[in-house]
Amino acid sequence: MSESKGRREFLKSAAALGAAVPVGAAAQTKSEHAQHGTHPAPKAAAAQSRPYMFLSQAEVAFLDAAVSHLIPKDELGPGAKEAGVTYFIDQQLFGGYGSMAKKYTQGPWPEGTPQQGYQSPLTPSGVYRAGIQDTNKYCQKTYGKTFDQLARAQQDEVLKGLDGGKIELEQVRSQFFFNMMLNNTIEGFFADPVYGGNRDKAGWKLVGFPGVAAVYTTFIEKHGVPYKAQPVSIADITGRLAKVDEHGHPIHVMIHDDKAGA
Amino acid sequence: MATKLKPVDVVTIGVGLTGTILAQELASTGLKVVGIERGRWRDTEHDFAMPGVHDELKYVRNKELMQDLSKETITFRNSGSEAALPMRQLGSFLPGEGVGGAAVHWGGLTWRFLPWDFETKSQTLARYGAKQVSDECTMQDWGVTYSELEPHFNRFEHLYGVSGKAGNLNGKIIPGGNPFEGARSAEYPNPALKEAYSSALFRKAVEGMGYKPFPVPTAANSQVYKNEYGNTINACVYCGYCQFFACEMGAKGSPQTAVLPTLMKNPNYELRTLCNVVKINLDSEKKRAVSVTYVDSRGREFEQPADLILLTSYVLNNTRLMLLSGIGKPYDPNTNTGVVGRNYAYQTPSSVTLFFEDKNFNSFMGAGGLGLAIDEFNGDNIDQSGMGFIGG
Repeated sequence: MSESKGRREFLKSAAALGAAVPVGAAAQTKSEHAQHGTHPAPKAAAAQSRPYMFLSQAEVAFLDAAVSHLIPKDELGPGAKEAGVTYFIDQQLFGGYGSMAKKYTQGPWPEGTPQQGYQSPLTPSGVYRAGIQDTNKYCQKTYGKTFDQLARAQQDEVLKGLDGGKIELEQVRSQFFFNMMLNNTIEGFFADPVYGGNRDKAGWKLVGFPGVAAVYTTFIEKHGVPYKAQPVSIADITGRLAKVDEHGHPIHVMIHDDKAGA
Repeated sequence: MATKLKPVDVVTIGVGLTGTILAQELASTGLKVVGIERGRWRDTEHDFAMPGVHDELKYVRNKELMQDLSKETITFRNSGSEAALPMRQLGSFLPGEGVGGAAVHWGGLTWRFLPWDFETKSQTLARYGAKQVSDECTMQDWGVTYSELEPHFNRFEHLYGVSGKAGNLNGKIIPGGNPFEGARSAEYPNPALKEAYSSALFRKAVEGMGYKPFPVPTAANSQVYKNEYGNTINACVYCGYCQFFACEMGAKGSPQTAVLPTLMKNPNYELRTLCNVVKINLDSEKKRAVSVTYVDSRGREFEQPADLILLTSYVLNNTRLMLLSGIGKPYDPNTNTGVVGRNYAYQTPSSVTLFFEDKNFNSFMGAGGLGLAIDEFNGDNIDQSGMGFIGG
């Protein structure tokens, strides 16, 4: 059985069991609770209700387009855009990550060697602001349109240009911007849904990750037997949607499909 | 102007793995001990509680339990010809901050050094001759041997509840353990952790090649365990959130599980959190440390005199404090003189990721250090003649 076929079957069975529960930011735990029953709110409405705190509408359009290339929607399930990664990035940039709250932000500012890591005077929020502005400027000059308005093939070209450093940006190193966007996209796709990404636990379902861990003392010795559970997020527990044991570990609801019957 | 406090017997600068053990040992002899910690108080019940502790973004990516670099950091460079620049975000080094230090978020790996490690220079020269060692190599013997340290290794393992399997018990080779290790005076206090699928496959493969696999020693306790201080460490539940995380089960050997419950009850011990030591003060002849200067969370400066001042932070900060305080001769890599900051070594493991089309490992399960190892290629366990390296 190929890996992707296995994932498809996993997703199919998860969906059939109604495991696909929309999960939003911690602040939305209440509405999520209401959604958890038999009347889930339409996804589009849920997405619209999320207030962006940092990104402008133009920046949202840019990132929606960019992240949909980094993790595209395909037959295996939703991509980064559908999983709310733009909103996740917005929340990160608005918060401590965006301002480098726990990082050193004073000079000096020589570029340094690659081994010396992050040496930009810009914080991540500044990197995004400058990177999006400059990339749009490049797209206007080259194609006569902003990035989000380009055809998908052209968007691909631009992202590859940033990734490989072939496109020079004025205010920030293009590879630095691209790598930050890529890392944050991966984080937003796989981090706990309390941060606003990984919506509907799309990232976790794709790779078969159960989220907040249960007690695995017995299962660790079941060699080769896939552990298939409905993923549990932090908000599922704080919102009392998941049952827990005496130490607060969730009691996972197992997914029984045809293949795992053994 | 610093307020001068009443003298005490002992001050530890930092309240992590070493600071807590030393404080416990000294306070139990009747000495008055003060632990000064730049970070905050942290305990299992309040700070490491479910479900928030299972948050990969917060703890792995954003390194919640580690040093706040916005306040202070180090500068670094890879060679003397480069300009040293500030470490702006955490990467390779992950210094802890707060009570328990890095031993809160460590993975629990508790290897002993091999006997050879203590006598690298003399043993290399004896086996291979001077041709094996480059002129630029600054290695030297430690000045203590494995057998001198063995009782302390043993006591620490019993304090933290280390899980493993002895391979050399008083010189007798024991099947299932590491036959290359130095002789142990006792078996591990806890049996090895359960074997994961990846370990089982590794065992089969290397045994087929004639090697001797053994469980990696780890402070993830394999069963409920009570140590010599009377503290109980819980059994690991293989949740997989170990390194980078604090253990919600109290199943990882740490200051919080193994030492602090006893230490905090000792009337001879006083803990001062959110207090950052900025200098060690010397006597007029610059021969003896007499006090430390620290700043508390309200910005007040204090001078705490003590007979014994212990540097119990991580080596980077210990060294930095010594340099700032004018203690010892700073190491100069150009002239190879001085000792403060000399021969800093950092463990840099390498790894290989394997993909199997037809196997399922549930790799989100596990424990810090859960796995098997072989030691055939470590230390001086293979003939390294003409290989251009030593140490395995």
